[in-house]
Amino acid sequence: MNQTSSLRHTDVIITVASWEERFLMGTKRLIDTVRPSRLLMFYYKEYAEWSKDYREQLASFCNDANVTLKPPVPLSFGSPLDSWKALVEYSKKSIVSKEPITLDITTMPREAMWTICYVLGQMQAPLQYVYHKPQRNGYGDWLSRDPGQPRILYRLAGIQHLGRETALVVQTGYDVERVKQLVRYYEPEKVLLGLQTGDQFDNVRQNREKYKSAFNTHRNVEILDVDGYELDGIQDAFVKSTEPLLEHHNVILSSLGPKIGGLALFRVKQRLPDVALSYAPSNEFNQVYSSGIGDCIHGVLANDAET
Amino acid sequence: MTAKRNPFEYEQATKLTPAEVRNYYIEDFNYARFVSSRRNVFLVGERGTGKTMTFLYYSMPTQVAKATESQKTPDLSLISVYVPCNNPLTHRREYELLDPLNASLVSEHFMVISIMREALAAVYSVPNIINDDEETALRTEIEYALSLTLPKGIGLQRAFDLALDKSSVNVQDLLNRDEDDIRISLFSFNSGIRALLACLRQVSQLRDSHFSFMIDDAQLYNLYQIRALNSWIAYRDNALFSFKVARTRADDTPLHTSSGGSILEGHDFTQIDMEQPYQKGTSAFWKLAKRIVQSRLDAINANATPSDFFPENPTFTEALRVAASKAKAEARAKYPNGTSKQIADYIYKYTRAIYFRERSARANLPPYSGFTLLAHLSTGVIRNLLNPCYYMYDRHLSNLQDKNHALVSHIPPSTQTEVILELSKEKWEWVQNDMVNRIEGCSGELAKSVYQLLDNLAILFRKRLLSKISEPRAVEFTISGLDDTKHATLLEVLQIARKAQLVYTYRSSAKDQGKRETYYMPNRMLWPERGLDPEGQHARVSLTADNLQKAALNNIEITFTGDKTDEPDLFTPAH
Repeated sequence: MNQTSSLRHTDVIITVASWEERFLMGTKRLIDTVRPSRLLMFYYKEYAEWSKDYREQLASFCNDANVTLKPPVPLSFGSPLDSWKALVEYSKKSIVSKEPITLDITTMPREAMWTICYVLGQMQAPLQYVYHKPQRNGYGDWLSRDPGQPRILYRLAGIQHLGRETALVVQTGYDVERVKQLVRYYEPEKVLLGLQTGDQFDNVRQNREKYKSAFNTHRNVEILDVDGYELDGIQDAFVKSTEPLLEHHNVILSSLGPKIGGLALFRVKQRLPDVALSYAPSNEFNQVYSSGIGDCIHGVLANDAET
Repeated sequence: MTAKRNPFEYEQATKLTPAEVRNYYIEDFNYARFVSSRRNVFLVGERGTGKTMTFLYYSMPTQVAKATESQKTPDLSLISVYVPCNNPLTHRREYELLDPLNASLVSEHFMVISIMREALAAVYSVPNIINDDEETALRTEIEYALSLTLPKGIGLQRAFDLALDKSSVNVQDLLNRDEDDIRISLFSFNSGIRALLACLRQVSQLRDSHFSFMIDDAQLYNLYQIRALNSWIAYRDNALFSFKVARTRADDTPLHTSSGGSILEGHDFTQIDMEQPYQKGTSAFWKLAKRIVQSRLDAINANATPSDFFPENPTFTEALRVAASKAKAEARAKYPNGTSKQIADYIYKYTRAIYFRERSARANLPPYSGFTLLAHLSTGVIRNLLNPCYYMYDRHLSNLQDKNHALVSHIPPSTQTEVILELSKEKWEWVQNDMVNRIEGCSGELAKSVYQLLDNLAILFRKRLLSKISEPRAVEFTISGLDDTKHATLLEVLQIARKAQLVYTYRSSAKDQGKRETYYMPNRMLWPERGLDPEGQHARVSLTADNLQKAALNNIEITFTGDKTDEPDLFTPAH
């Protein structure tokens, strides 16, 4: 859905602060629509200076809107263990079991998003997700650089069987090199690349052709067509392609494409608990990656299955 | 001859079939005797240096297939067990959430069950190794010694696999469910591997066998696992088992044991450097390269030697012959009463330099071609050797009209040149544009510094090549005046360049006798794009750390004033 008017009321919104305009504009828009009583905000220490101004503006906005904003909780890309503990402990402390939550994933790194989804799943909290696109033509040249070592998330490593080969299933983005890095790191026997369909943002030239060319000499690489902004469709496509792999492989899932796809992969993980979720971190982000705010995509995750 | 399959395909070694491993592996690597010994051995080298291939070749299934092929009985005095570490189980990180005791126990458990599974698989890869009566007895022994309940009605190997997998799944299940106080039975080295080996020794054919565990990609083990492995390596009695451990060079080898002690090179283990520097035409690597390519050519019945298959451009050969005559004339003028060695040394040093120097400034880049050049371009790394061969073969095949029935007897020099220049150009473009997205820990600034350092080295080496100096073709360097604190950034740049396999290093003799220093060898695939001679010569240039740091950080050219400033020097090969 693309209209914010159909968003449901929840008492809590969870977000990760950013320097992108759509963070501030989007969160304000959400507060106006969802009318929460509490906002839980995390931010990354490494980019604290970049996000400081918008965090302060949002604090002031919350104050005016009578929304309780507890002191934002610092996370760190360089300390995944501390970040995981902070996300889990703070979420558990701040949310009542089965309490409906609005999760703003717009500027939320996938590792944080999956960890929060994991906690909310444990707490059986119904989850309304929201993603704000940038304005039309609002993407910069690049999003991230300097990849860190890929890592499987705590508690989301699935069940791995002895003696099986690895299959890597990736929801790809524009950056072929990051996918190559995942392949290089995990050395999978089989690779399944989820590629965005359609020609938005010059997708065919930028994405599909690059991937086909980059992997045309690799054995055992398959392409899966997915629509990156349609959660159920992505989920179904990945479940359908991943499930048969589990018979003979240990499967690692990773997401480098549209954020909604990342959320869909979490749902895939819920449907297929044996798969592992892997995060591919970056150590450098583009301060002018996006501008403005565009459509709002949102939906509901029932959290009917615990992971 | 058939041309349908590219013989130079270089997949990960683990993707090769045992038959391909057997056909492609060149047995007499100079370190092979260590791998098939009863010692503890560390193989250290970056990706593509042949660690996995070596392990797979010596693993029991390949050795059995080899023996069967030559109608011999497999040698059971050494049971080599290949243990791959790069699997999602090793990548689990819940140990970080546990208290140190549980973290250590769980980590060791996962490692031990993986090794035990591979051990029994290695044994069962030998046909008829265990008769029915022995299998019944072995099953009972294993159940008792390892406190395992094996499912009835199926073969021992499968039953053992299932029992181990169940044990692993039970622990994973607890970790997934937030239960960190693990209260189920976990295997340790003693309760698992040693107990299993004791059982296996009861099999008549294994009574005198030594088990060599070949742990591949050990850098992926977590700290607890590495410490446990080091503790096992510290066992002094190598009669029953030993460990061969392969790891990448970029990660310094941690040597601590679980009990807080350390293992020592030379005492507890032997370390082998898998990155063999390319030194001269007769060096071990050159011979190896020749045999590797020959084995690939034999696999497609090419009926050609590597030099026949990758011929040198005749124009280049002729130009070199002319340059050699000029060098000879210069040598005779310089040493009117010179010995034949003096004359030969001069010709060796200057022939190629004369060729490059006397080329017209307007000329295209040299017609890089020939197997010898390909071997030099590899910089001593097997993957770097096969990669251009792969693309040349592919390109040549594409150029042929009748691809299905194409016979490839050689790769035309023009195709070789085209591919070499393209790959060289791509290498520079990769440094400039993609390295930052590909190499872990490489920031935009570091990538820029690596590019600037290599660029300025290329400029320096080009100036040297075109100058009448004593060692014009040197394309390696050492660093003088290096201060870890003052030049920390330079060291970081070099570390990233090494990780990206743009620079290789090795230790060799310094000018001062008895001292050893680090030699830096940039990837020679960089040089064709810059019109340099990838063949180089047995010389290195001593560069100051200050100059290198300025080149990397500030893009300032490295000072060159002939022979005086950068101290070219013949080096003594250490290998």
